[in-house]
Amino acid sequence: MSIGQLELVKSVSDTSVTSIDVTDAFTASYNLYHIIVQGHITTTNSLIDLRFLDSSDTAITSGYRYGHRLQQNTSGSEQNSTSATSIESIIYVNNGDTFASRFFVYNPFSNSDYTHLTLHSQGFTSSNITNTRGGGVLTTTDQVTGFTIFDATFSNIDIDVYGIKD
Amino acid sequence: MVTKNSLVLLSSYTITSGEETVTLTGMSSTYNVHLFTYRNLKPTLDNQSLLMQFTVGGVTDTTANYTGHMMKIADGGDNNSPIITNGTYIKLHDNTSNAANEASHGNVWIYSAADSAEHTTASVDVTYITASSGFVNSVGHFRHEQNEAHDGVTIDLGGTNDIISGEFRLYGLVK
Repeated sequence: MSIGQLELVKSVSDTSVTSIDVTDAFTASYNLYHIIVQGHITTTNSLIDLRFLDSSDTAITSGYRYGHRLQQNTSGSEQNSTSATSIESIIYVNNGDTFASRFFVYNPFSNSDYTHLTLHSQGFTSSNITNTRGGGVLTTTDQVTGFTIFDATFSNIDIDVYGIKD
Repeated sequence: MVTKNSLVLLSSYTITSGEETVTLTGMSSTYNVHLFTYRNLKPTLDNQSLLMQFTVGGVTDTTANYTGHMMKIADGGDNNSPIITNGTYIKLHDNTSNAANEASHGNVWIYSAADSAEHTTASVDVTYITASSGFVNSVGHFRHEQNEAHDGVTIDLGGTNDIISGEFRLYGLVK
Protein backbone atom coordinates (compact mmCIF):
# COMPACT_ATOMS: atom_id res chain seq x y z
CA MET A 1 0.00 0.00 0.00
CA SER A 2 1.23 3.45 -0.79
CA ILE A 3 0.02 6.76 0.52
CA GLY A 4 -0.73 9.92 -1.38
CA GLN A 5 -1.83 9.03 -4.88
CA LEU A 6 -3.47 12.39 -5.60
CA GLU A 7 -0.89 15.10 -6.09
CA LEU A 8 -1.33 18.74 -6.95
CA VAL A 9 0.93 19.36 -9.94
CA LYS A 10 -0.15 22.79 -11.17
CA SER A 11 -2.17 25.78 -9.98
CA VAL A 12 -2.89 28.74 -12.24
CA SER A 13 -4.97 31.84 -11.57
CA ASP A 14 -5.62 35.02 -13.51
CA THR A 15 -7.96 38.00 -13.66
CA SER A 16 -9.51 40.03 -16.49
CA VAL A 17 -8.45 37.69 -19.31
CA THR A 18 -10.15 36.08 -22.29
CA SER A 19 -8.04 32.94 -22.20
CA ILE A 20 -5.69 31.17 -19.87
CA ASP A 21 -2.93 28.72 -20.75
CA VAL A 22 -1.94 25.94 -18.39
CA THR A 23 1.47 24.81 -19.60
CA ASP A 24 3.62 21.93 -18.34
CA ALA A 25 0.64 20.38 -16.62
CA PHE A 26 1.02 16.91 -18.09
CA THR A 27 4.21 14.87 -17.82
CA ALA A 28 5.32 11.26 -17.88
CA SER A 29 4.79 11.09 -14.11
CA TYR A 30 1.03 10.50 -14.44
CA ASN A 31 -1.36 9.01 -16.96
CA LEU A 32 -4.58 10.23 -15.34
CA TYR A 33 -5.34 13.79 -14.26
CA HIS A 34 -8.17 15.41 -12.31
CA ILE A 35 -8.63 19.10 -13.12
CA ILE A 36 -10.83 21.66 -11.38
CA VAL A 37 -11.66 24.97 -13.06
CA GLN A 38 -13.57 27.67 -11.21
CA GLY A 39 -14.25 31.29 -12.06
CA HIS A 40 -16.47 34.21 -12.81
CA ILE A 41 -17.21 35.73 -16.21
CA THR A 42 -18.40 39.08 -17.51
CA THR A 43 -19.62 38.09 -20.98
CA THR A 44 -23.15 37.03 -21.85
CA ASN A 45 -24.14 33.41 -22.41
CA SER A 46 -20.59 32.20 -22.75
CA LEU A 47 -19.75 28.77 -24.05
CA ILE A 48 -16.32 28.19 -22.66
CA ASP A 49 -13.99 26.06 -24.78
CA LEU A 50 -10.87 23.97 -24.27
CA ARG A 51 -7.94 23.14 -26.51
CA PHE A 52 -4.94 21.02 -25.70
CA LEU A 53 -1.40 22.38 -26.00
CA ASP A 54 1.34 20.38 -27.70
CA SER A 55 4.88 20.02 -26.40
CA SER A 56 5.73 23.42 -27.91
CA ASP A 57 2.85 25.00 -25.95
CA THR A 58 1.01 25.56 -29.22
CA ALA A 59 -2.75 25.10 -29.19
CA ILE A 60 -3.91 22.11 -31.24
CA THR A 61 -6.74 23.36 -33.47
CA SER A 62 -8.09 20.28 -35.21
CA GLY A 63 -8.94 16.65 -34.61
CA TYR A 64 -11.42 16.99 -31.75
CA ARG A 65 -14.63 15.01 -31.37
CA TYR A 66 -16.99 15.66 -28.50
CA GLY A 67 -20.45 15.14 -27.12
CA HIS A 68 -22.21 16.99 -24.31
CA ARG A 69 -25.54 16.81 -22.60
CA LEU A 70 -26.64 20.24 -21.31
CA GLN A 71 -29.31 20.03 -18.64
CA GLN A 72 -31.15 23.12 -17.42
CA ASN A 73 -33.97 23.65 -14.97
CA THR A 74 -36.71 22.81 -17.42
CA SER A 75 -35.06 21.32 -20.46
CA GLY A 76 -32.13 19.44 -21.87
CA SER A 77 -30.26 19.40 -25.13
CA GLU A 78 -27.29 17.78 -26.80
CA GLN A 79 -24.33 19.34 -28.53
CA ASN A 80 -21.89 17.28 -30.50
CA SER A 81 -19.34 17.35 -33.27
CA THR A 82 -17.27 14.77 -35.10
CA SER A 83 -14.81 17.30 -36.49
CA ALA A 84 -14.19 20.26 -34.25
CA THR A 85 -11.42 22.77 -33.67
CA SER A 86 -11.81 22.58 -29.90
CA ILE A 87 -13.83 20.80 -27.23
CA GLU A 88 -16.62 23.31 -27.18
CA SER A 89 -19.16 24.49 -24.68
CA ILE A 90 -17.61 22.86 -21.71
CA ILE A 91 -19.46 25.29 -19.47
CA TYR A 92 -22.54 27.36 -20.25
CA VAL A 93 -22.65 30.47 -18.09
CA ASN A 94 -24.21 33.90 -18.20
CA ASN A 95 -22.79 37.36 -17.69
CA GLY A 96 -21.85 38.01 -14.11
CA ASP A 97 -22.10 34.48 -12.89
CA THR A 98 -19.77 31.89 -11.53
CA PHE A 99 -18.97 28.50 -12.98
CA ALA A 100 -17.15 25.37 -11.94
CA SER A 101 -16.00 22.34 -13.85
CA ARG A 102 -14.02 19.22 -13.25
CA PHE A 103 -12.32 17.04 -15.82
CA PHE A 104 -10.62 13.69 -16.00
CA VAL A 105 -7.92 13.62 -18.68
CA TYR A 106 -6.49 10.30 -19.81
CA ASN A 107 -3.18 9.69 -21.56
CA PRO A 108 -2.24 13.28 -22.48
CA PHE A 109 1.50 12.69 -22.51
CA SER A 110 1.32 9.57 -24.64
CA ASN A 111 2.36 9.99 -28.27
CA SER A 112 0.89 6.65 -29.27
CA ASP A 113 -2.74 6.96 -28.12
CA TYR A 114 -5.46 9.58 -28.31
CA THR A 115 -6.08 11.96 -25.40
CA HIS A 116 -9.52 11.54 -23.82
CA LEU A 117 -11.38 13.94 -21.53
CA THR A 118 -14.60 13.67 -19.54
CA LEU A 119 -16.24 16.62 -17.83
CA HIS A 120 -18.91 17.70 -15.42
CA SER A 121 -19.65 21.43 -15.30
CA GLN A 122 -22.02 23.82 -13.58
CA GLY A 123 -23.02 27.30 -14.69
CA PHE A 124 -25.92 29.71 -14.60
CA THR A 125 -27.80 31.59 -17.32
CA SER A 126 -30.26 34.43 -16.88
CA SER A 127 -32.92 31.97 -15.76
CA ASN A 128 -31.46 28.50 -15.52
CA ILE A 129 -28.96 26.53 -13.57
CA THR A 130 -26.93 24.59 -16.12
CA ASN A 131 -25.35 21.20 -15.69
CA THR A 132 -23.18 19.76 -18.45
CA ARG A 133 -21.96 16.18 -18.71
CA GLY A 134 -19.90 14.86 -21.55
CA GLY A 135 -16.45 14.59 -22.95
CA GLY A 136 -14.24 14.62 -25.96
CA VAL A 137 -11.24 13.12 -27.60
CA LEU A 138 -8.29 14.54 -29.51
CA THR A 139 -7.91 12.12 -32.39
CA THR A 140 -4.23 12.72 -32.95
CA THR A 141 -1.25 11.23 -31.16
CA ASP A 142 0.30 14.58 -30.27
CA GLN A 143 2.10 14.62 -26.96
CA VAL A 144 -0.13 16.95 -24.94
CA THR A 145 1.56 18.91 -22.17
CA GLY A 146 -1.10 21.46 -21.28
CA PHE A 147 -4.36 23.08 -22.23
CA THR A 148 -5.99 26.44 -22.76
CA ILE A 149 -9.41 27.62 -21.61
CA PHE A 150 -10.93 30.39 -23.73
CA ASP A 151 -13.87 32.09 -25.42
CA ALA A 152 -15.15 34.22 -22.56
CA THR A 153 -14.05 37.20 -20.52
CA PHE A 154 -13.02 35.91 -17.14
CA SER A 155 -13.00 38.40 -14.30
CA ASN A 156 -11.21 35.67 -12.42
CA ILE A 157 -10.34 32.06 -13.11
CA ASP A 158 -8.59 29.44 -10.96
CA ILE A 159 -7.35 26.10 -12.26
CA ASP A 160 -5.91 23.23 -10.23
CA VAL A 161 -4.41 20.16 -11.91
CA TYR A 162 -3.99 16.98 -9.88
CA GLY A 163 -2.09 13.91 -11.03
CA ILE A 164 -3.29 10.50 -9.90
CA LYS A 165 -0.32 8.21 -9.37
CA ASP A 166 -0.37 4.54 -10.23
CA MET B 1 -13.00 19.30 -3.05
CA VAL B 2 -10.33 16.66 -3.26
CA THR B 3 -7.15 17.36 -1.40
CA LYS B 4 -3.58 16.25 -1.65
CA ASN B 5 -2.84 12.72 -0.49
CA SER B 6 -6.50 11.80 -0.22
CA LEU B 7 -6.28 8.68 -2.39
CA VAL B 8 -4.63 5.45 -1.32
CA LEU B 9 -3.76 2.79 -3.90
CA LEU B 10 -5.19 -0.55 -2.75
CA SER B 11 -4.66 -2.80 -5.74
CA SER B 12 -3.41 -2.61 -9.30
CA TYR B 13 -3.08 -4.84 -12.33
CA THR B 14 -1.73 -4.34 -15.83
CA ILE B 15 -2.56 -6.54 -18.81
CA THR B 16 0.02 -6.76 -21.56
CA SER B 17 -1.32 -9.85 -23.31
CA GLY B 18 -4.74 -11.41 -23.59
CA GLU B 19 -6.70 -12.18 -20.40
CA GLU B 20 -10.42 -12.83 -20.08
CA THR B 21 -11.11 -11.02 -16.79
CA VAL B 22 -9.49 -8.73 -14.27
CA THR B 23 -10.35 -8.79 -10.56
CA LEU B 24 -9.05 -6.21 -8.10
CA THR B 25 -9.75 -6.53 -4.37
CA GLY B 26 -8.95 -4.50 -1.29
CA MET B 27 -12.14 -2.55 -0.63
CA SER B 28 -12.85 -2.45 3.11
CA SER B 29 -14.49 -0.46 5.88
CA THR B 30 -11.30 1.55 6.22
CA TYR B 31 -12.80 3.72 3.48
CA ASN B 32 -16.33 4.91 2.81
CA VAL B 33 -15.60 5.62 -0.84
CA HIS B 34 -13.48 3.74 -3.34
CA LEU B 35 -12.33 4.72 -6.83
CA PHE B 36 -11.78 2.18 -9.60
CA THR B 37 -10.01 3.39 -12.73
CA TYR B 38 -8.95 1.77 -15.97
CA ARG B 39 -6.85 3.14 -18.77
CA ASN B 40 -5.65 2.06 -22.18
CA LEU B 41 -8.07 -0.82 -22.34
CA LYS B 42 -8.27 -2.63 -25.66
CA PRO B 43 -10.09 -5.83 -26.57
CA THR B 44 -8.48 -8.44 -28.75
CA LEU B 45 -11.51 -8.37 -31.03
CA ASP B 46 -13.27 -5.30 -32.36
CA ASN B 47 -16.77 -4.23 -31.28
CA GLN B 48 -16.81 -5.57 -27.70
CA SER B 49 -18.78 -4.72 -24.56
CA LEU B 50 -17.16 -4.08 -21.19
CA LEU B 51 -18.90 -5.53 -18.14
CA MET B 52 -18.41 -4.81 -14.44
CA GLN B 53 -19.35 -6.72 -11.31
CA PHE B 54 -18.44 -6.58 -7.62
CA THR B 55 -16.76 -9.35 -5.66
CA VAL B 56 -17.61 -10.99 -2.34
CA GLY B 57 -14.61 -12.51 -0.63
CA GLY B 58 -12.69 -12.14 -3.86
CA VAL B 59 -15.28 -14.11 -5.85
CA THR B 60 -17.23 -12.38 -8.61
CA ASP B 61 -20.81 -11.68 -7.54
CA THR B 62 -22.95 -12.85 -10.46
CA THR B 63 -26.31 -12.71 -8.69
CA ALA B 64 -29.00 -10.90 -10.70
CA ASN B 65 -29.10 -7.80 -8.51
CA TYR B 66 -27.38 -5.15 -10.62
CA THR B 67 -29.72 -2.28 -11.41
CA GLY B 68 -28.73 1.01 -12.99
CA HIS B 69 -29.09 3.67 -15.63
CA MET B 70 -26.47 4.84 -18.08
CA MET B 71 -26.53 7.87 -20.37
CA LYS B 72 -24.48 7.58 -23.53
CA ILE B 73 -23.30 10.94 -24.87
CA ALA B 74 -21.92 10.55 -28.37
CA ASP B 75 -20.25 12.83 -30.89
CA GLY B 76 -22.64 11.75 -33.61
CA GLY B 77 -25.70 12.63 -31.56
CA ASP B 78 -26.70 8.98 -31.34
CA ASN B 79 -27.35 9.22 -27.61
CA ASN B 80 -29.38 6.75 -25.63
CA SER B 81 -30.03 5.89 -22.01
CA PRO B 82 -30.24 2.18 -21.35
CA ILE B 83 -31.77 1.03 -18.08
CA ILE B 84 -30.54 -2.15 -16.47
CA THR B 85 -32.82 -3.99 -14.03
CA ASN B 86 -31.74 -7.00 -12.02
CA GLY B 87 -28.93 -7.89 -14.38
CA THR B 88 -26.01 -10.15 -13.60
CA TYR B 89 -23.61 -7.35 -14.52
CA ILE B 90 -23.45 -3.69 -15.51
CA LYS B 91 -22.36 -2.83 -19.03
CA LEU B 92 -19.94 0.09 -18.84
CA HIS B 93 -19.66 0.42 -22.60
CA ASP B 94 -20.22 -1.45 -25.81
CA ASN B 95 -19.08 -1.56 -29.44
CA THR B 96 -15.56 -0.92 -28.16
CA SER B 97 -12.90 -0.39 -30.80
CA ASN B 98 -9.62 -2.30 -30.79
CA ALA B 99 -8.00 -0.09 -33.41
CA ALA B 100 -4.60 1.45 -32.91
CA ASN B 101 -4.67 4.64 -30.81
CA GLU B 102 -8.28 4.01 -29.74
CA ALA B 103 -7.97 2.80 -26.15
CA SER B 104 -10.79 3.13 -23.60
CA HIS B 105 -10.65 4.76 -20.18
CA GLY B 106 -12.95 5.20 -17.22
CA ASN B 107 -13.49 5.81 -13.55
CA VAL B 108 -16.09 4.38 -11.19
CA TRP B 109 -16.73 5.83 -7.72
CA ILE B 110 -18.02 3.13 -5.38
CA TYR B 111 -20.00 3.82 -2.20
CA SER B 112 -20.95 1.71 0.84
CA ALA B 113 -19.01 -1.24 -0.53
CA ALA B 114 -18.00 -2.67 2.81
CA ASP B 115 -21.32 -2.12 4.58
CA SER B 116 -23.08 -5.48 4.81
CA ALA B 117 -26.33 -3.75 5.78
CA GLU B 118 -26.52 -1.58 2.66
CA HIS B 119 -26.51 -1.87 -1.11
CA THR B 120 -23.22 -1.09 -2.82
CA THR B 121 -23.72 1.82 -5.22
CA ALA B 122 -21.54 3.38 -7.89
CA SER B 123 -21.31 6.30 -10.31
CA VAL B 124 -19.70 5.76 -13.71
CA ASP B 125 -17.80 8.06 -16.07
CA VAL B 126 -16.16 6.31 -19.04
CA THR B 127 -14.84 7.36 -22.44
CA TYR B 128 -14.19 5.22 -25.49
CA ILE B 129 -14.15 5.00 -29.28
CA THR B 130 -16.62 2.67 -30.94
CA ALA B 131 -15.87 0.15 -33.67
CA SER B 132 -17.45 2.61 -36.11
CA SER B 133 -15.07 5.37 -34.94
CA GLY B 134 -17.57 7.34 -32.85
CA PHE B 135 -16.68 9.02 -29.57
CA VAL B 136 -18.78 8.09 -26.53
CA ASN B 137 -18.82 9.40 -22.97
CA SER B 138 -21.06 7.16 -20.90
CA VAL B 139 -22.15 8.38 -17.47
CA GLY B 140 -24.54 6.80 -15.04
CA HIS B 141 -25.06 5.01 -11.81
CA PHE B 142 -25.84 1.53 -10.59
CA ARG B 143 -26.25 -0.47 -7.43
CA HIS B 144 -26.16 -4.07 -6.35
CA GLU B 145 -29.52 -4.50 -4.69
CA GLN B 146 -28.57 -6.87 -1.95
CA ASN B 147 -27.41 -6.01 1.55
CA GLU B 148 -23.90 -7.42 1.54
CA ALA B 149 -20.30 -6.32 1.70
CA HIS B 150 -18.20 -6.23 -1.46
CA ASP B 151 -14.42 -6.23 -1.46
CA GLY B 152 -13.53 -5.70 -5.08
CA VAL B 153 -14.47 -5.42 -8.73
CA THR B 154 -14.31 -7.67 -11.77
CA ILE B 155 -13.99 -6.45 -15.36
CA ASP B 156 -14.91 -8.73 -18.22
CA LEU B 157 -15.58 -8.42 -21.95
CA GLY B 158 -18.13 -11.21 -21.80
CA GLY B 159 -17.80 -14.71 -23.19
CA THR B 160 -14.26 -15.87 -23.79
CA ASN B 161 -13.07 -12.68 -25.41
CA ASP B 162 -9.79 -11.30 -24.18
CA ILE B 163 -8.62 -7.93 -22.99
CA ILE B 164 -5.30 -7.48 -24.75
CA SER B 165 -4.13 -4.43 -22.79
CA GLY B 166 -5.23 -2.28 -19.89
CA GLU B 167 -4.11 -0.67 -16.63
CA PHE B 168 -6.48 -1.17 -13.70
CA ARG B 169 -6.31 0.57 -10.31
CA LEU B 170 -8.39 0.48 -7.14
CA TYR B 171 -8.08 3.31 -4.60
CA GLY B 172 -9.59 4.18 -1.23
CA LEU B 173 -10.58 7.75 -0.46
CA VAL B 174 -9.26 8.73 2.95
CA LYS B 175 -12.02 9.55 5.46
